[in-house]
Amino acid sequence: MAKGIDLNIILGGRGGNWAYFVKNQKLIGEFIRVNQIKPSTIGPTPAVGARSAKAFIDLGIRGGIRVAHLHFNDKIYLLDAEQWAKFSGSIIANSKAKLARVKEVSFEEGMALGSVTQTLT
Amino acid sequence: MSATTSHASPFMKQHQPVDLGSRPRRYTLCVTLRCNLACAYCYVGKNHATMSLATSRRALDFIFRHAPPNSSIEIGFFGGEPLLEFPLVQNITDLVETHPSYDPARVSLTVTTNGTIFSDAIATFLKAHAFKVCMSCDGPPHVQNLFRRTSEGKETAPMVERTLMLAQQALSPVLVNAVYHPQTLRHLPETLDYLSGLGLRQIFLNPDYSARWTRLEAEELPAVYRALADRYITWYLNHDPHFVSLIDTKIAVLIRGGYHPLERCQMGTGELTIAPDGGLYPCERLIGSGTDRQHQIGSVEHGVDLSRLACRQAPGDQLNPECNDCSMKDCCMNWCGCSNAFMTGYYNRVGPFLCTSERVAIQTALEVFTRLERQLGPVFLHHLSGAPQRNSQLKQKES
Repeated sequence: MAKGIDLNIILGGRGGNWAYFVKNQKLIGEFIRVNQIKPSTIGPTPAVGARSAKAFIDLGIRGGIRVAHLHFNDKIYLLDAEQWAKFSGSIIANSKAKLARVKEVSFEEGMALGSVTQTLT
Repeated sequence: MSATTSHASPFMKQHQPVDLGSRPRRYTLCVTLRCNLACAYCYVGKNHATMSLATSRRALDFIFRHAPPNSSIEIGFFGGEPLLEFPLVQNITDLVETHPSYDPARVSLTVTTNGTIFSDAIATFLKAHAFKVCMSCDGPPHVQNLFRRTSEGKETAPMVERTLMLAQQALSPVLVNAVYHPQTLRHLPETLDYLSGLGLRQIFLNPDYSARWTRLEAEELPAVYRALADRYITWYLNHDPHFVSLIDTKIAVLIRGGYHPLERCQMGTGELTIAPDGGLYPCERLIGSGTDRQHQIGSVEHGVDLSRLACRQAPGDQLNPECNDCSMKDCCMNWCGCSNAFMTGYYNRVGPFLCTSERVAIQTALEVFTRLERQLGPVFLHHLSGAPQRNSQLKQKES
């Protein structure tokens, strides 16, 4: 039997997704500030705004996705393709830097660390 | 059908149960421990225990009482094989939908099935009640039949393949979960091809953490995951995006800076599994036979005693000391208590295979992300918004 899959989280649930940005909020805030992106006037709340944006704006971005946007401090910031490329570029650069510093634990070391099973009663 | 009556477990007499500190939004109803398969790696201790309607009612009262207000709730049907008890699944669904606290906008239903039991009646019912359906299939026949056989030892590949085809016609979307094992790891790319060939576009790949993984398999991981990534990229370039959990979830966490607390399993506080007798467990993987109670943390009558989790917490650091200063710890599934328990015996101690697999998966996802973003522009916006499956769903709708 497979592990049950947390469908709501993976499928995006029913609203409330802006909470996910909390971890990258610093990066997002900095990106918005540096690139002087103005908040969108669409909708007073992120969820409503997101739906409105999808309904009314099509920047022609491929992949079936209507519009690139970021949520920050309860506001929506629409990105054009160039801004998104910058944003994703910063994610890539950040992630590569982190991966370069990733802790390398050999399999044998991991075995030793994980071998606590034998101590269980 | 042998209905199991609900009762408090022995520890409840010793511990004063406490109410939940937080409010789980994900509940798994283990409606039966019966199963028509005897998969070699299964973590469920099969027996005839089946949830009674009285326990179902108490379980639903418990769920609606403890679920967070104004938030989505997921109620999953699990087993054993839940569709062996299809009439019970129907009855419980009716209890859910007629419960005074039921709100269709908040509650979603899921079922995880082994794909051997399916009919027009089942399909009609699942569709009518908007079930999200996940089927288990490990891959092409020679992979599927290696571990997933009936209790009489019969092969299951033909019937599961047939069910996957029928289910896709009747239900949309159908999710599929493939478990890989040291013996089947190198067949993983083939498994992806096979499932894609059947038309499936939402594919979950999960290792059997209880297996004895060795350095040999760990060394094979980069090549195997790279082969998966090659297929993933090709599909995107051919305008046929697939959701492949191993890649998509890691792209999502990279974009979002790590797993959000809500995405972590939050054993006992974010999710709960309810056994046929009403016992509460932190995860469906830990239910065992439903009677050994190793991981039981409460019951629907008495609530949850989170202190029970402490007996499987290794002393000292919250995680392996090596995790604390790892630069990728936020993107790693080191928080998965049930996986950890299978590997090391403790909820908070990570085994070496998970460490290696997570590192390689993150590396692979980053390569995919970099390449596709450079080549196609912004394709992972839904990953940023926490809905990485949207890409494959949109494509399915378009086609």
